[in-house]
Amino acid sequence: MLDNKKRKLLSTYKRWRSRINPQLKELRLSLYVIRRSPLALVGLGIIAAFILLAIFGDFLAPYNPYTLNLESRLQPPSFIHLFGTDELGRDVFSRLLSGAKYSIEIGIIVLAVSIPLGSLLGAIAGYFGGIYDEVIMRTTDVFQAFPSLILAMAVSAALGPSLQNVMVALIVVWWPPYARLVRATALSIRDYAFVEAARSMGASKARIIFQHILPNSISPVIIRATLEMGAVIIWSAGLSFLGFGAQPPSPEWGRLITEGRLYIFQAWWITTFPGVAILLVVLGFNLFGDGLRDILDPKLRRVIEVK
Amino acid sequence: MEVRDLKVQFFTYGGVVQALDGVSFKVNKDETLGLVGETGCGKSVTALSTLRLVPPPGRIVEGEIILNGENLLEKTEEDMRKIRGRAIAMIFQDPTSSLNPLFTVGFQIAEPFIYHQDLKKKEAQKSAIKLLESMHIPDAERRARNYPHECSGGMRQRIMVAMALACNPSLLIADEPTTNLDVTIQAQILELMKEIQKKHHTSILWISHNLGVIAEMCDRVAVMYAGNIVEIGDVKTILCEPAHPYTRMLKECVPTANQKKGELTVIPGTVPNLISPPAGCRFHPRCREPTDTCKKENPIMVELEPGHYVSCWKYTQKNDKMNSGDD
Amino acid sequence: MGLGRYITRRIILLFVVLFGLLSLTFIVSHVIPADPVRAWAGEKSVLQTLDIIRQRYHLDQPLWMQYLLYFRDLLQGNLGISPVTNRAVLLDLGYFFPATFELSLVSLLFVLAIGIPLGVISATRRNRLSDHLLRVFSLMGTSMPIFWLALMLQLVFYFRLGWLPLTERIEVPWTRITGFVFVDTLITGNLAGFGDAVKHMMLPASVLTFSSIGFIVRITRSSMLEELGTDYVRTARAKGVPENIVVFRHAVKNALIPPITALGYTFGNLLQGAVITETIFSWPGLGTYAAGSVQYLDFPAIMGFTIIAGVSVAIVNLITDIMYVAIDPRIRSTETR
Repeated sequence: MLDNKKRKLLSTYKRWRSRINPQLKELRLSLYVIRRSPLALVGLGIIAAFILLAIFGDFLAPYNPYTLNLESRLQPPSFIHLFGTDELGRDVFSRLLSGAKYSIEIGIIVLAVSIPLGSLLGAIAGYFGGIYDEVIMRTTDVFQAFPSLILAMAVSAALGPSLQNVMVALIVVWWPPYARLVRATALSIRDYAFVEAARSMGASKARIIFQHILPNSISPVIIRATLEMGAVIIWSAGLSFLGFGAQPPSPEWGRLITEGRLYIFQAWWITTFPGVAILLVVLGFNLFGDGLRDILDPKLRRVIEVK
Repeated sequence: MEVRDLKVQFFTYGGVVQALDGVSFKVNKDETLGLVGETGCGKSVTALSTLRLVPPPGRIVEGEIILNGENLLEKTEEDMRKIRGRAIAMIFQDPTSSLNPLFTVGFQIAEPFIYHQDLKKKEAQKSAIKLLESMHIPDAERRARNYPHECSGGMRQRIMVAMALACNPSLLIADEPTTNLDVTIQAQILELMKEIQKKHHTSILWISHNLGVIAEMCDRVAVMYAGNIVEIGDVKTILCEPAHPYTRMLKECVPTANQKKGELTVIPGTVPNLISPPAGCRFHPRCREPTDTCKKENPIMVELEPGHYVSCWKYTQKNDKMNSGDD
Repeated sequence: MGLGRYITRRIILLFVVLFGLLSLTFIVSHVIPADPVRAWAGEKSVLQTLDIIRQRYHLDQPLWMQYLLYFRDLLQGNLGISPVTNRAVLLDLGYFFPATFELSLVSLLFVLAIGIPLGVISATRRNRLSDHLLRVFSLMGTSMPIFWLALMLQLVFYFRLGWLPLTERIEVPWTRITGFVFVDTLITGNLAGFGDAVKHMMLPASVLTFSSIGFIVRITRSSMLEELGTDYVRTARAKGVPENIVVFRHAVKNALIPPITALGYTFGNLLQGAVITETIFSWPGLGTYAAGSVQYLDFPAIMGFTIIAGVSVAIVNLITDIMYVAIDPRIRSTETR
């Protein structure tokens, strides 16, 4: 009895292994190449540090980011206050640490909603074609015809200033490129044999989309997503600057820069350090995404060729 | 031109690919030497090496390529540039991807004239048109204004031939020029090439994996396998009485008209991984009659009969070891 | 000719997209807000004005009626009246437009003139130190928030070094004819004004250029790399074409296609960047207008510049598409058949 079970388990495992073997090989090769791309590694390191910061920021902060301390306003950086204090006496360093989580929160939520949304729409458009394709594609055309920041501004203005509304505005603006991306993949694999095979076996349309089309579109989507995490952070900072997004006294990084603007000539540190923080984090994502793209893009890879 | 002991390696992420393992052969004046072999055996790399156009991560690590008494591997880049397209010219396999889509056909043919003969653009264009006419291309002047995508496959290949012949090279390297064309066009190109050779006494290095084309075009043939030349001789001997086991099996693979219906003959096994090639003779895993020496040591090229060389232990053991010579 | 037909077809498509764009704006401006009347009337409106507003913008009509009247108004050039400036939005837009246009155009030219050569150089020196440095440099531009960069530049070049002015477009008196400061100063022979305008444009243009250049450098680099590996470049080398001609003639011409088609995207980027940049430099352009109207919740103004922005990007995209077809003979044949 036990033998039978063991055999079944082994065969299932073997089957799973053989199914993902090509991907495993790719993964191994990719890891090897990643190790050799110093830029991508640097980026990865920065991302990891940022994530840790976001999770533990509040614990690591030496001072309470919200308490006012009007006696020590506008202090330059020193050993007591690593990045100085702002116009209300709050420690800039602590505010920076505690504000990390907002940036990551926005990034994750915006991408976590807009990517699946866009991908699903793109898969439908590409696979079913016809009127679905036309309607969805014209819709993306319209959305993409706007300079996205302005559309996001308009939506934020209509909804009112708050962090959640900024997320909604960004989601509205962010999904079209993914729809386009997935649609392109769907179109190209729509007529492949395995899709035909699935269809002939009676797989429902939903099943085909979820099990075949979407998984095969993952690669370009992932590349784009890593690069875009940085973009979301920059945009939310930009919207904060314009008055949307997080409201005072929230230590969101974009807000920190905006609040520091008034004192920039007296106390440059209030504005400079949050900006450097954003720069580093986004650079990290961009480096990693760029390195990733260099690897995953078959045209740029060095091909083994013997003739 | 003479190639001596050419070794080319590709330094890739997966390891070092030993693409060419000491290749030696000679192309004499006014003759056509065929270079036969399976895909991946190193034919194109050999051709590119003579022009020093091996793409990175490849590199020529050893050997000599002698043209008119000079070793090409010691020349400066500028000297090589003067040789490419003038002393040695190359025709590539896929004419569609080998022609620049943004320039007219006439311009691309005129370029060798401009850079090697210092002609001005107008004169070069005129020469280009004359060249097209000499290749029996009708309405050459209008043709010259076409873009590559406006021409048919056979026309594109003829344009490539024209580009190569512009400056009357002494050596023409043809890398599978007819593989991508259909049979009728192929016949035209072959005729064209023969005519050219007769007129200009150009030596040709004809690379192909099609024995039929080799038989028609070549005076001598070199057989390549996995980065080695395994046999060289004149075309009749090689095709009728091949010595090397690989050549023999190649010949058996070609289906003949009076063959009985049934399975086609194949050579068992696959081309070896050149990052870790088999020890000794690279062919021994697929050979019908490997000996112990074959598995341990790489065979030396010996002269079986005058002009017929083989690289196989079967024959070296028969002859005196002193008789080994490679030329 | 075939090209003409292609253009006509694209212009028709343009109108379709514009239609969708305007409808989207309608949805955002009339459907999404909780209280449209309040929004259109402005924050500080009195009860009586609400009725006037309701009538002026047809907010008392059923939604489908509003939609039709919205388009009628648009076609008449009626974009509403700003409750903040009390002028027609269309007039305000016309006043602020030239400043932004000049700034964007100059920045776009810089991006192309600097970015494309950098991309080509980066590709020809692949994986050497200069390549890595260039890549990090171009990534930095897109990694920093524009307003922060602007503030930092102001800190350094105005406050610390005193080389460049802080804000505004021009401080020497000038006569406004077309609204384009470079044109007007030249026409009136106001060379001091011209020089002053140049000085004032340096910082904002640098900010915009630096933030958008990364994209162009990256695209140019990857398309150059692709080109250098093609068969026809190999053929050119095999023909004995000198290497620098191979690179700068054969490869570059093909490689320019992706960056040029990215022009539309870059222009859109510049417009967005302009919104923030103009605010920081008090540049009297559409960006300041936009940011201000957003701050004061000047609804008609917000919708007005949204429409303008959308329309101009759509037009630039159209121009880019046409250029793309004009450059590449392969596309020309397939598209104009």
